[in-house]
Amino acid sequence: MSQGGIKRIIGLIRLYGLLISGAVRAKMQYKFDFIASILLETVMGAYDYMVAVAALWRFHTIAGWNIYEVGLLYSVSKIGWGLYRAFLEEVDRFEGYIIRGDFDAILTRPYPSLFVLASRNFAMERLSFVIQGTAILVISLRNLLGLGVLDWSGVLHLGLAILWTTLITCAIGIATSAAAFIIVRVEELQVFTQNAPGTATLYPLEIYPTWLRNMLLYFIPLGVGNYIPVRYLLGKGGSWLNLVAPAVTAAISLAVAVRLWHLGEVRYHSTGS
Amino acid sequence: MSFIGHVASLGSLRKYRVLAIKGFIQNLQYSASHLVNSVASAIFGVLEVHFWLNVTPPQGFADYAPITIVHYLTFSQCIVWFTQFGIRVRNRVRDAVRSGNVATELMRPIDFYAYHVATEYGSLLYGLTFRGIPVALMLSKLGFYIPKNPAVWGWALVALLIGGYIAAAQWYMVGLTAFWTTEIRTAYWVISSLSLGLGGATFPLEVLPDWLYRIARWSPFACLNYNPARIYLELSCPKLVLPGLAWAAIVTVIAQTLTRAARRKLEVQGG
Repeated sequence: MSQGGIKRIIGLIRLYGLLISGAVRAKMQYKFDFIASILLETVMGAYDYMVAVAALWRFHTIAGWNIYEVGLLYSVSKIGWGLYRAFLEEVDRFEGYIIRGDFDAILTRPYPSLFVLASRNFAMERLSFVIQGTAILVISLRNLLGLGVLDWSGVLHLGLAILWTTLITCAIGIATSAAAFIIVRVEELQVFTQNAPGTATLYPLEIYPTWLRNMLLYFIPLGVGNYIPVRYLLGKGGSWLNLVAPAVTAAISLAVAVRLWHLGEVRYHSTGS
Repeated sequence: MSFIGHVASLGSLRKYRVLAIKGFIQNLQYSASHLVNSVASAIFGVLEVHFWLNVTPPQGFADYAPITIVHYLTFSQCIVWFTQFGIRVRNRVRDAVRSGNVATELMRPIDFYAYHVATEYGSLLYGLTFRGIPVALMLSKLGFYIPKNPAVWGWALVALLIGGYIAAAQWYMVGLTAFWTTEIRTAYWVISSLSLGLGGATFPLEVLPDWLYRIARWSPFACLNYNPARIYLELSCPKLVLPGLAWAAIVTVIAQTLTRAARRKLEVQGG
């Protein structure tokens, strides 16, 4: 990369830091309300995991996975989702920009529109998902490390799985929001591409019929981010390729998503005023 | 005039019926969007069915065989848009408080509580018809129970209508907290977790630990999904509507008391 390119990237990072710190300071004006709501959402938002706990408390395993193993799937997925929402909240809410015609203002900035959107907000409240996922991850790891099911290199790979899951989730979020350039309202589409697959990948994919499993691995590849590496790390099948597949999938998904975004941008027509 | 007297008078009944119809009609303009949402709702139903089919032992548990679990979940998924999701009364009350419009609403010669609940009830009936039936059709491939006895349909419908009323009332009360706190997020999280967890929306309550099951089955939340589903699947006799009736009366009294307290508390900014 040329020196000019590196300078530009450093400049973007600085600018991003500056804009985000402003957004965070604004939110922290109401510290108590903010912290209380994060804590509450962390506890109350663990509903899906509580369902799994209730089920596995009574029936012990699901498709051969115990509650701690399911906990790994859950935490990788939830942390990835939380980081996506924290960093790309405005991308997730993008349909509002199209409906209100606010995207015109984004286009006037001398930076890529995705960067401008991302730097408008850092949704700290979404860190409740990260806190929740981390708590469940710690509980699960304590048990699995203690039993020798997992070793410390496995923990390192789990960290990478979180990174790839976050990037895949971001890619799916960007691709879905890009549809707003054409169909304007994407809220219902998000339920299909983000919410339902996100819920599905909290549990082992072998419980689902083949068509659904394939969809979660090849079409909306959220399952590649958590299920594929975790399955191998827990000795439930697969090979070292299970650890590589998420990185490759993340790179391809991001490239496709950004391309879709640019294609949409080209088709954008202002709503006018 | 007492609340019951006011609501029961012929003129008032007509008003509330009109409000409910308006609530129903308002939703009709989004029916295409809701149809798409029903597909997503059906996908969640598919996920739940496969999850529970995998954990349920072949001999079943309590009085649920594996196929009964499927029937429970498919029925429950059809009624979630009547008793759990898409209920907006809390936001309407909160927004009215925040904007100050609540002052005008409280001045109207109509009961504030009944006004909001009637409007919401119409909207919920829309959800049951235009979201519930499509979901039932989509999930029928997995297994959807059809009772042969017409009386079962009738009792299940009664239980369901009571459940919808309790749902509207409880979310109205969540909205009422805005009179004190402006923000209703905390109350929202508490009630939504209790409704989902103890209401039997995504699993039969017998799955819960015994002590929690005993609490849950007698709580108002059980009237939302669990009791109607048990009656519809002919797992319980129609007497199960009685706890629903009792809870409907209790939540009405509580909501009315809170509304009176909120009216005294009201502070509207601006001039």
